[in-house]
Amino acid sequence: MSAGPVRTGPVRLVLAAVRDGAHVPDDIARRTGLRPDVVGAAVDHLVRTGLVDRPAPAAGCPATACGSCAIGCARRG
Amino acid sequence: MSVGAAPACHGDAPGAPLDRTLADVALIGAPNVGKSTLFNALTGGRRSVGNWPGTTVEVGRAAWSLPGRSVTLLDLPGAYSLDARSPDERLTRELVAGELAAAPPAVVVVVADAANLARSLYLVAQLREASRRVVVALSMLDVAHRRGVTVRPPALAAALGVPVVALDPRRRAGLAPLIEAVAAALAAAPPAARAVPPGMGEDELSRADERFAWIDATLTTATGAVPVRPTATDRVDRWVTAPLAGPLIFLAVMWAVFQLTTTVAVPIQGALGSLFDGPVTTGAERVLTAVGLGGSWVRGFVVDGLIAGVGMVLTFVPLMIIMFALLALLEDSGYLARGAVVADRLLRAVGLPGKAFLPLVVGFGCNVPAISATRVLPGARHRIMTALLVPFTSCSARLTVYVLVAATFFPAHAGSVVFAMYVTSILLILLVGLALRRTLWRTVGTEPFVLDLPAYQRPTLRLTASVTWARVKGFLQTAGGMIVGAVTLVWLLQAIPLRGGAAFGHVAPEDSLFAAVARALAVLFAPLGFGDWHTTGALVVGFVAKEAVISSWAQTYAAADPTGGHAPADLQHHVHAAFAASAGGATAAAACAFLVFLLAYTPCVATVAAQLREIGARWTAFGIGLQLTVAWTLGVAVFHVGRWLA
Repeated sequence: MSAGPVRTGPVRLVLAAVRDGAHVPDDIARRTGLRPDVVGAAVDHLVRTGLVDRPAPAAGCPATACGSCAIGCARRG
Repeated sequence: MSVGAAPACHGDAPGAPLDRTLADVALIGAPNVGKSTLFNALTGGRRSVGNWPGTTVEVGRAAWSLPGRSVTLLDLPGAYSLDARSPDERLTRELVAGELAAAPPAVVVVVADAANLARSLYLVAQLREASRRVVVALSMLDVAHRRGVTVRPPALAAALGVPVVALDPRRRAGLAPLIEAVAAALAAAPPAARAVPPGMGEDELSRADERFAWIDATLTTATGAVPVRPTATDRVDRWVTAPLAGPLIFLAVMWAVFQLTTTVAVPIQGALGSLFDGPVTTGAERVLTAVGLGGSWVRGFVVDGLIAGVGMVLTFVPLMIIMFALLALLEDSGYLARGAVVADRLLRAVGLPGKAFLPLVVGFGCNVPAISATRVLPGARHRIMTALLVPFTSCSARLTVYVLVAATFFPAHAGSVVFAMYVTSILLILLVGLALRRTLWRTVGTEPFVLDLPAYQRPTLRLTASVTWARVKGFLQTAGGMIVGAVTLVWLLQAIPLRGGAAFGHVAPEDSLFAAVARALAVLFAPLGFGDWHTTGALVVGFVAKEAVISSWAQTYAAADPTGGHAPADLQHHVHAAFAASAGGATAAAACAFLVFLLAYTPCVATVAAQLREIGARWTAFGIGLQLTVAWTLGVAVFHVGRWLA
């Protein structure tokens, strides 16, 4: 089975959407028209290759500075 | 990496049947897909585990009996791809390609997670670029089914061009068909490589694009469309993360938080102030008189210093409890994480690095951990720039002063005034950031990022209470440490006579060293409408910690009027009178200028120490200069515009 010639494939579409300001997989899927599972896998691939970053959510403590974070301390029990 | 391009990848020429009594079969797959569980189920757990020679990566191996022959089954390290981005992936790639053994594995069994098939098939796409014997072991079908995804193994096998066996290694289901499939693959010729469009090997992104396009086409054939059933979280997120509605909803929520905080907390604060003003002060006076220290400087230190200063700061505990509890509720519900998406749009709009929102959001709690959090940023320029912006985020310590000043000058709109200070803080960050980008860092780029937002959940009482207590404890620790230190320092400076000939500890506040220094500096604040030495002294003490502005005010006025009360209302009366006298009639404008100055000038010594550690002395000094310049300039502008409007 061949996917045929690829000019702008799923990875480039996802990368373009993220660069255009889509930061949530659901939003990326809407913008690109790709299947959500393919979007998720393509995002993982881009994160692994270093083209896209996936930081911790803002409300949580960054890994390097959470020693005094109340939420982090509370969740750690 | 393209497996097709790898050397020595094919021990057997395409089309030639394998003729060996002992062959290696490799088990590969992404981490956590059940690979090791399958390995144990197939081999009965008789595995030997050790580092592959020359590496620190563990590889499991065991004898595996197939019909008519025995093979060595290798459990290779978890890998998402054969691109060698980690030691585990590198070893997996080299073993699959046969670079570390006499021959490559005769059959590669890819353990694929049916619930995350698109991720698992990347390995298959790479392996199928060469003529290799590949068998796909499909696990987690039950999880996929629960998510509404139905995978049809025969259709998947046809699309992939290799056998697909559905199994559940935890229940030992599907092992016999897998054994049959591997035995059949060993006996047969390797299948032809899948067709790759010409020109796809030019660069890595093109290769990944081609593989994902193949995966997309395969999934469409084998699983049909993934059901899109918007959850409640999806429906809410469409509004709260929308470009226009998102920021408006965020601002409305934060306004409600501050409105609720001030409305509920201010009466409780008054009651607590009466407690310090009444029983606590009276009790301390009686004890000191009983031990013969009633008229001594000790009485001044304890009553006009510690009780007036620290006590006033402690009256803000109810306010802190309410605000921290409300923010913890928002945080635990998952809403605050959406603020990241909203904030990112704002930051990107002025060209700031998208990841800077992380430390900046932390800064609204406390600037000190926020400075440390700049380490998450990738480049030195990003880190320095963000560390310079963090002090403009309005930390919770500043909230106490906002509330006091807002309740003094704008009692009917205290919540809205406090909210306006947070909006001003956001605008300051954006404007100063933009100015830095236009001057110092024209070449700083932004880095694309993706967030995994948590689903909304019902906040739990335990977590909310725990988080609130942790933060209130931090406030109390500051009151018990830094503020006691600041109070002691202010009291000492107020106890030293500079004129009038009074003895140590018995000097009128306006004749003290403290007043002399503050009076000398007050001229700087005259253009802002609050060139009064009490206020100037409080702002200087505020360098230690912002809560110390209140304690300094409280003890200065307490020492000046020992017979007056120590309640918040009494302090408000003194502060209002001082501003009215210094502002030349434009009292409200001076109050606004004071609030803006307080927001923008150096937060505290702990933040300065954190900056020294993270960005060095030169940038820290630059930052302090920047904060003072912005604070003073903005204060002057606000006062004069306010006076003109009035």
